[in-house]
Amino acid sequence: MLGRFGDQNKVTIHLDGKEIEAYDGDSVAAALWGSDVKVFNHSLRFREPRGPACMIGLCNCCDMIVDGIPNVRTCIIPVRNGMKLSVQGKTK
Amino acid sequence: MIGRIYDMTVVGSGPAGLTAAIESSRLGCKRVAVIDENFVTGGQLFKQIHKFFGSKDHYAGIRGFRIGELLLKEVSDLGVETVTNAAIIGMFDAQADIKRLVTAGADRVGEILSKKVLVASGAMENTVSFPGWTLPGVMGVGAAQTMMNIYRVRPGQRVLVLGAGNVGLIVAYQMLQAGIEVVGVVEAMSRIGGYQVHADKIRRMGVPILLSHTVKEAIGKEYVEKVVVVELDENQKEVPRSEKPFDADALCLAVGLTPNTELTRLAGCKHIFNRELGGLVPLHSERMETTIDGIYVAGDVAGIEEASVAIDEGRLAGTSVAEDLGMISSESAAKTSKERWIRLCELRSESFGEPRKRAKISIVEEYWKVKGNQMGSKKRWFTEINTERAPSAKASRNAPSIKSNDNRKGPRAIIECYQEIPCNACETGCNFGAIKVGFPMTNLPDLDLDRCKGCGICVAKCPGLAIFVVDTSYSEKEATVSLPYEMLPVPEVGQEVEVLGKLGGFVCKGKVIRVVHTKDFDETRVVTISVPKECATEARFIRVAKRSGK
Repeated sequence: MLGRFGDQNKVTIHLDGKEIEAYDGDSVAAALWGSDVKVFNHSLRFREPRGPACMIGLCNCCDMIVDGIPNVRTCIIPVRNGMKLSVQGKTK
Repeated sequence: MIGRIYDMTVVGSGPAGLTAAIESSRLGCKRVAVIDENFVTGGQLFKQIHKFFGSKDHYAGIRGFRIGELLLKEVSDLGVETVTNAAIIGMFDAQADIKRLVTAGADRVGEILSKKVLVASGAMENTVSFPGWTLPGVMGVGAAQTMMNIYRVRPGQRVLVLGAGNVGLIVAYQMLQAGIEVVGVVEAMSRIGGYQVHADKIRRMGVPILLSHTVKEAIGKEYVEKVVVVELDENQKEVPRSEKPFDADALCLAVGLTPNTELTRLAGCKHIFNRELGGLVPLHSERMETTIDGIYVAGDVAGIEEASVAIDEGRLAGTSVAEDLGMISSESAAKTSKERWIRLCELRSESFGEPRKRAKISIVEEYWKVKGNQMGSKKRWFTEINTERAPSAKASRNAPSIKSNDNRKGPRAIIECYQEIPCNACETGCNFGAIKVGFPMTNLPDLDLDRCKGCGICVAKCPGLAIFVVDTSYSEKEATVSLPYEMLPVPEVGQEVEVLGKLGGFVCKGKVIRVVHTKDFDETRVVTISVPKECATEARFIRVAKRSGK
């Protein structure tokens, strides 16, 4: 339906030191979810796991620390080679 | 951007925003800009991989993302400026002749001066809360659609969908296309909210639709691992001990949308709560102007409806902007706007549309009350429409085209479209004039058997995948059934396939005798299978075994 896929250039992003392969043009959230990363941050008060819920930058459930900057909505930023991500907020 | 005064600034580049920009610049507006906060234009059109309903003017039978491509091309041909990565975070001097919009991009803030502003900001998905609703894996169905259709990432391997409205049903079908197992569609109401043809598409693939059920809880440590569904009685109360657990790694919520009215509220436009239209909506006239002169709305922000409505509302608003800027005369604007309203009324007729039509008319009437009844000539054409020409619920109803005493030899179409939905793609698609829908397009299609050649074009054209061609005279013991097929892998001629019935149950074995696909069919293949004669009325889907190896 959507035509061929897989011709895009590959880029590598780093999640807490782990290398993750992604395709050029992916949003960060989609790239991570496609690599089975499900927990993006932990809620402030109860430290519960959170992951993407709207994918259009409205709900802030996919916030992560991106290149040192916290509270970045990963669903609306594209991947970039060498990007450094970490899960935001402490666990219980 | 700085220092220029735009004729018209459109906020949001979805179907409403793009058609409004196209219409106004076609009518002579020179400096038109479309602003979007996303990094691509097109709004939600690019995740819509299904064929749209409606008429030819609403791009019926064309897949949503191709409509997006068409509109974007038209926009660039007309020289409309598009700005991405820019959210509107403020509007000043809203009441003045020249309004100031403040944009926020990734790294800077800017200002746009504009004579007219069209807010086409769309809508936001609703959610519901239950224990576990914050777990990763619980997401809006639109989020799942973005993952699948934009980024080609599966939201889960086994997915449960909550909500059997059109959005839930369509996305459930798209999940099946993406190779996801849909374990069920759960709906709190006692009936399916969406079109039956959409429900039929997933039911014939074996997806259960649980009516009068809702999600009780989502269970999992780090993400969704199990979803508990519970039955509801007629008072929407949980039936004790009716819990059913489902193994699922994602739960997608399709529980409606809410208009994005932040900007119109910020500007100071008057709003009204309307349940039918999804919540708080800006009051607007029949010309799509809000209570503040020079600010217009179109599409979902003016009430949750469909993309075909958004396309027409966008055109309507574009015409009004051109009129208010003096590009066209009031008479010619009234003439085209009146035609558009009649068409909108056509889209909003019958059981699915009638409540929305009434709601829209009440919004317009409320607008004029607020405006102190300065109706003048503009209101006149509107009143005419509603009293005389709008198709009413009593419009002619044709009986569905199944005639049991049909003994004609050769292939013929069978149209399984029993609801008054606004669509006539089959009528315009048929080369022999055998299918008649007429006006309004909510009429049921009527098949003229003498003209039907059984060619199967309508099978591929119907966006509801509700038309089949059956030939009971294929051979002594066998009949052929031609059905629409949009899955992978594509079956090969000669291949043996499992034939499924209307509810997804196994019917018989069949053999593929023909696979037709043209550019015009756009990936909907018409697969003809031979089945035992007695199975012809039941056979509606095929399961194609994956080829071993690759």
